[in-house]
Amino acid sequence: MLNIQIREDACSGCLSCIAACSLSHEGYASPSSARLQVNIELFTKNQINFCRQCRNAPCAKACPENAITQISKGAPWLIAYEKCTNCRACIQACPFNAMLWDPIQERVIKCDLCGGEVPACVDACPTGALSIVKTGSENIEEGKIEGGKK
Amino acid sequence: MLYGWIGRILWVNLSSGKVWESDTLPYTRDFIGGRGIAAKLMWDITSNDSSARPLIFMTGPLGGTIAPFGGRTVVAGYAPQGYPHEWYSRSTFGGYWGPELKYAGYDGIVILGRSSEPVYIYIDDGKPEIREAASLWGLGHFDTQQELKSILGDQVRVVSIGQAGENRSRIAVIETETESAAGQGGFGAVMGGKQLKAIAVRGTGLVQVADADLLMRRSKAIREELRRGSIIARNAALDPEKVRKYGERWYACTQQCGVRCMSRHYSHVPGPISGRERAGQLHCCAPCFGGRDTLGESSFYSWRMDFEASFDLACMANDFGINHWDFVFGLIPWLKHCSETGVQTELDGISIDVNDPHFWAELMRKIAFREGVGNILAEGGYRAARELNEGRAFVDEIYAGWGYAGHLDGHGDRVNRVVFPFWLTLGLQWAVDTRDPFNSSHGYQHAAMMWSPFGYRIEDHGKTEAESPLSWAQLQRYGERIYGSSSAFDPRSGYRGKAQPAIWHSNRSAIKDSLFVCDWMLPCMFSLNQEDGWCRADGMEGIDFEWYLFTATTGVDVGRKEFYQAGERICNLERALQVRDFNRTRMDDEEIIPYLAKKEWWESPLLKEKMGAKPKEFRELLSEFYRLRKWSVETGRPTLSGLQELNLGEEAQLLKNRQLIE
Repeated sequence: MLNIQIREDACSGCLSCIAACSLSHEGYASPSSARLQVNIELFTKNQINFCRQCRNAPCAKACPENAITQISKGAPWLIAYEKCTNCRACIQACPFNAMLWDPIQERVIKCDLCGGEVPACVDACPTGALSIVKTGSENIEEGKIEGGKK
Repeated sequence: MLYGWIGRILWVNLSSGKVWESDTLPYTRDFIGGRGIAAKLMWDITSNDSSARPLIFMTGPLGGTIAPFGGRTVVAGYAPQGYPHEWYSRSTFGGYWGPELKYAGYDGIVILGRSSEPVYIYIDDGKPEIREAASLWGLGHFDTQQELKSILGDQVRVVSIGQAGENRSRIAVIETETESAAGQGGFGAVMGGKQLKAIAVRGTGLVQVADADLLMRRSKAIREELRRGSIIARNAALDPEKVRKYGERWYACTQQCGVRCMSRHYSHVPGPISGRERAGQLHCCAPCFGGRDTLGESSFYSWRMDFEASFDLACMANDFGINHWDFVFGLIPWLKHCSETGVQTELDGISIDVNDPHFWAELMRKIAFREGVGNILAEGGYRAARELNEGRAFVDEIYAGWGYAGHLDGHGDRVNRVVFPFWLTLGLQWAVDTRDPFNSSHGYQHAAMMWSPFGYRIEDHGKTEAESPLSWAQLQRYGERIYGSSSAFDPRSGYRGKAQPAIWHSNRSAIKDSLFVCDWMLPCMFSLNQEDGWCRADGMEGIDFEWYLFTATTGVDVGRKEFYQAGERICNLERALQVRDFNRTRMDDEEIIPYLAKKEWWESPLLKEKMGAKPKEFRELLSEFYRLRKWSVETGRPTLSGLQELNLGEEAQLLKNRQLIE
């Protein structure tokens, strides 16, 4: 099981990851179409919203159409757009602000780990703020989420 | 489809309240973006209406993509800091504002006219609005930015002026984030004069690129090569004690920057003067606020201030919107000189004590509000010295020309060690410019000093050839390869082969500020990462990184020669502007000679004698420069045929019709 690991204190705010994510998924550069978000904090450290590929993912649970699924256990959660109705229940459900509304494509987007290769964001990160790790994915239980929504 | 550029320029007339758009495309082939398009817009606007005083913000085609360093923005217009004329000039800033503007649907903004009351411009995804700013007027940059974020949302990006800009100080900057500023030129005063407090932008759109995979691959290869190979990146070490005490970050000075340079960002520094906790970057001239304390015992800037106070002062200057460079390399050394020689020991009853941070803080406040003597100092060090008529001889030693304190020229600023004959090249660039030509110098002077056995930093002094990144023999070979002049990097070559690098780097600096790419890192000639010291990455030669990034982003089918010729075109157009507006001639250019003729501040370790420019030799060098530029040796002006060859036919005809060129 691979996932992205974040070191927020190493983030320089160059937004190379944002550009790489949108470029590799959509062929253009835009924070709106990036599957992770970097909130620039000038006075402390940047805050990065990214998908944890949770084991029992709240986004998938919340989806009334069962449109968010894994190919196999431990694989990234993917959105089946033919089923998605843009109800945005998943956006509400995600504790990490990692289910995102893309105003350009007018659909929900999420991290797909770039199909198993080194994700474009990690490949582009010059500071080591993003890296790829083998982990057991996070087991989300309500109320026990570190670094999640306040 | 248009790649790289958005395709639209926003026009705002603050007198009439009208806003409209124009196409970017007619300008892109010849002028690229940023500084190039700004110069062309300026020419067109003021040719039609000579009383217009536009302020132009322009991004480049790489902005908002992944191309390294591409997020910068140029500000251009008639520059109040300029002396003896408010010549057309330019200054750039980083941060996130430029890319955000592109995501909001514009490559740039042209601001015309003047509002009758304080306003700010808000651009929300292609919807520009002029809004009243009465409640913002009087605030510093930080509070203005914060206030606009609280009104418009955290995602909004802001450029603003502080009180110095409102009160039209000639050394007022336009600022964004914690310290990114268009510093030189006094453009903050232009915004203040227009009663324009800020421009806030929110954009959710996109920048198309021609070949996403190719651009990502090239961007990464270039970034990685620079991270390993750049001397500036190698020198990025921080003081570990301060890091423990204040916390530290590497903070990209602009969106897309992926190479750690000498910028240092501390995140929790107490402000003993302001009472505010400070966070921000110390780079470029900002460490000089501390004087000897942060620059070392041997520093010419021999005041002494503790780190926290000096950090606070640098932040206060950012907040008031005062130009760091003029303050620490001009005003303060001059006042220190006045005080030490006894010609002026107090200002408005306050004795000049450059070791006292409260003295500095009060001085800044007075400048920002034009209060008492601050009304004179707000004119900038050069004009203030003339007006007060004190210490003028000293000011002539540290101000190179055009109202700007010296920069990398071996004479004026006394932290950037450049020795004869290498400052001659910069002398030529100073001679023909309208401000300090430092982004040109970052190419050649850095190369000649940092990569050579001379060593740029004092601690590198006395290095042997074996310890040096490149030997003189290597440098001379590369000088031949880059400029067609092996004497360009020959420490004993005197005046030979100095005009070629002056032209090459001037053209390249126009390219950098039009794309944008980093002013410090590019053009990438040399590398610590390569056995032979010649920079390259993934089959790309370092000196062509600009072209590789441009073509992958825009898809424009242009050869290297034609692409780089845009730099020559931009430099010629800027020269044409000086000729049209201020009758610029060779006589003006030669005004730099007395400054360069003084003995240099350091001496060449080989020549072991402090040198000054010999007027006759420098004039000959200037003639060589004009000839290579295809300018008239007699007048220093472009010629009709020279401009026509550069596809500046209309401009040439106008100058010819006014009998300004032959």
